[in-house]
Amino acid sequence: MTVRLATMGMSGCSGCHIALLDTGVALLDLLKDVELVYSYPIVDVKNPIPDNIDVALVEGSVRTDHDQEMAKEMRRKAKFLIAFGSCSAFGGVNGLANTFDSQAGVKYVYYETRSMGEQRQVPSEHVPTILPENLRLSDVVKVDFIIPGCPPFPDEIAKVLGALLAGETPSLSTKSVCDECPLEQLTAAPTQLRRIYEIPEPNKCLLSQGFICMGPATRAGCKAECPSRGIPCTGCRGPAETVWDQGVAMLDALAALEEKELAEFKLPRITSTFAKYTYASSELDKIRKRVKQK
Amino acid sequence: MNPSKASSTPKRKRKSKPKAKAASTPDKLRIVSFCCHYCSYGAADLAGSSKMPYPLNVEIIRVPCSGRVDPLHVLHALENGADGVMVTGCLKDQCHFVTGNLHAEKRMMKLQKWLETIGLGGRLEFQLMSAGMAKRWVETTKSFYDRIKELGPNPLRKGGK
Ligand code: SF4
Ligand code: SF4
Ligand code: SF4
Repeated sequence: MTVRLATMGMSGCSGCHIALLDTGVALLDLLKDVELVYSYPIVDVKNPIPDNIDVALVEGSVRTDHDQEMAKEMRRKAKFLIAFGSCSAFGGVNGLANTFDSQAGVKYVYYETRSMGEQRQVPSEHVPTILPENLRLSDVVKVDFIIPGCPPFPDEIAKVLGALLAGETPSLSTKSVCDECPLEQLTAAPTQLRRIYEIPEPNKCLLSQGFICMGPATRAGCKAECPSRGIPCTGCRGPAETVWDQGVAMLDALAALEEKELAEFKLPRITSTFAKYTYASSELDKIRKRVKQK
Repeated sequence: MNPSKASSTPKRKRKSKPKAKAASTPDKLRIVSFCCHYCSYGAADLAGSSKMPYPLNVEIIRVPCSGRVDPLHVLHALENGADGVMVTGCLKDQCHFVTGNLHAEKRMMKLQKWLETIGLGGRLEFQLMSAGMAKRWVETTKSFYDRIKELGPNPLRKGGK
């Protein structure tokens, strides 16, 4: 029996779809049992979404009324809906837009950017309306599974799809990036804040050296791709299983830094570092939305 | 696991609601105060036994150390309608756990900034005091209470007032 697979893109960068294509040989194996019935970013057909979809991969966050409708329609037609990538699962980098007023954003884009030329107006036709908030997929419809990552790892995509084809329940790693990290973990807490352009000591934990590495708060599964190359983890795979809120967890970890160093580490840098991919699903944003409603 | 949530931590069980002790105060404002076992709790205790009055609105939660207070605790208190949250610890260099109070201070300072961005600015207070500083406790609670009174009730409070 062939499995009817659909993939769809909402407000994202299509990077997740590139990662899907990047599964390479594994994709060819999968395609023996899979019929790709709908794939809007890969095949240039948007409507209609076919019926009877078995598995749907949905990339991107819900930013416009069009996204919202598409997400609902996909939910009606798909048996197993996967939030594909961090935009869809947590709101993604787009979620940082929630720190601004959405109308101010629209105004900036259509009236203030230089590239707009002469036509300074918000188009009223052929473009969907922006929602007041950037939402993750699960804010709009029920989601059966998430594949985190910005973009997700091809190996993991293949593993999850493989498990589904075999009739098994897919699973994600429950560990944190640190658990997979090959760097030597030091017990010393960082005292000094260091910036990304500085050169780290090789083979030593980056966080202990003062680089802000989100490893401790981030879900494993990427084999610590970034720290093992000397680049601090930015937390693209969202909160680890035992972490309630990635940003707040990192705020905790920062406490050991010297006050003088912390003084330089201010908003909005804190938000965009600690909640880079998860602001739209963070505790902070949840409260902000509720305060705004009142 | 529940993959539809951002974090798939199992849902916390809600305990039955604690009785609204401070609801008996005339203005119904509620201030949650995390006090460390070794110092600020002692200060509050001393204030009580010396019959020094401080606002009834302050509800104390004793913690082993101010460093134990996770920013999430503060967020959850505010989310559930606390009008103000105080975190109090020992004086500098007097922390029973050496650096707990300093860590708490740094976290809370940053959290205060975060709260300002989401419309709850001014509702978090951090203070250091020794177990003998009952007067400081009274002054701190009074001035924080005044500030909360000025800010008005937390917009997230149930019933909206
Ligand atoms: S999760 Fe990352 S790669 Fe995927 S759509 Fe969003 S920004 Fe692009
Ligand atoms: S470098 Fe980052 S991921 Fe590796 S052990 Fe240190 S904090 Fe964890
Ligand atoms: S190390 Fe961190 S930023 Fe890099 S891929 Fe893994 S989770 Fe993403």
